[in-house]
Amino acid sequence: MSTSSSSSKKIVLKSADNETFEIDEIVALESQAIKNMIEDECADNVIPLGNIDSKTLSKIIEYCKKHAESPKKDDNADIDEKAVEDLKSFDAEFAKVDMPLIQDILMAANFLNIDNLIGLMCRTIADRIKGKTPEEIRKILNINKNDLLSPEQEAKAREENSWAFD
Amino acid sequence: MSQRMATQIDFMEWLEPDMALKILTYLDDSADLIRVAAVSRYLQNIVISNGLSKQLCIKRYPHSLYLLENRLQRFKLPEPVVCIGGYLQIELLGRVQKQAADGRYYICMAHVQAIGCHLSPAFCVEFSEPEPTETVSLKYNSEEFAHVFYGVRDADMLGGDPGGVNRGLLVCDANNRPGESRRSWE
Repeated sequence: MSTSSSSSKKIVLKSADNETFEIDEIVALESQAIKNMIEDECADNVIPLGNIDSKTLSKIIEYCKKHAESPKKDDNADIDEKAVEDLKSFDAEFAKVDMPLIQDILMAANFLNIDNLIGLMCRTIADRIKGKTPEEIRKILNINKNDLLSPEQEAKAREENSWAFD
Repeated sequence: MSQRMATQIDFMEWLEPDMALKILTYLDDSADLIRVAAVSRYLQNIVISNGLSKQLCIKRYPHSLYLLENRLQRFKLPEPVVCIGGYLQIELLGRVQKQAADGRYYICMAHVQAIGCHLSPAFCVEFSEPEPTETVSLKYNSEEFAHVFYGVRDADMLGGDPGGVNRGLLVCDANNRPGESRRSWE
């Protein structure tokens, strides 16, 4: 639970497993969905997030905190490059988690409408399937076994583009 | 069987289609797209219905766009390519390759010409042994290189057209690799 600077307005988020997270409003505003709720004045003291567990939510808050305190690109043209680099390396470190958590974060980021985080997670997933065979991609993405191409279809796909499978 | 009954959740299907699409647009190699399309029907559908291969091609090789006209059209390759004998394969990405109805081809290319310049004697190609590795090395001879380089530059000043791609290759090598150097392509 956060106990940072007392002056700013606080928002409390509640995860699916009933853990509460008190964060600065400025951090919560990284989420377009929460921002809309606050602007429409339909946010109570506690915002329940019934489809996000505490593990995922704490990761998301970590991300939003970092991004909220970093200078925004469109604030002014000459923000120092060090801050940009710093944020980049934070993102790279942030994405070093296992696939299930990446998937959970992506779903939650989608629900909360956090654009940068959606992009980061999508890029991370794409990076992990680069250079992999279809079998490996199935394993990584946990692909539904009922949805596979028929052996004939797959043979055809391989034959037509054999160069991609070498 | 209902998808929800499965103990494992197919993540890509669970996502909204535009999110799955977003993931695939971060792939920047056509081979990755083709392999993804062989993973499942769902992904194949996303790749095909959004024309991702074509989009990627346009994004990576904007100069290679050609018009459907019966005339010579020139374009530069986006980067220098080493060509050692063999065949030139042209893929008309984004075009129907073969009509599904009768399995025949109805596209005709009247003229194809690939223009480049000899790398020898400035460079010579060596095939590594043992054979199965199929590694090709370019060996670089700095004395000969100087001749070729100035030859190309002079031709350029005289209004000749040795092609920007070739020039780019030579200039780049002149700056970065003085003396003997080797480089491998898998």
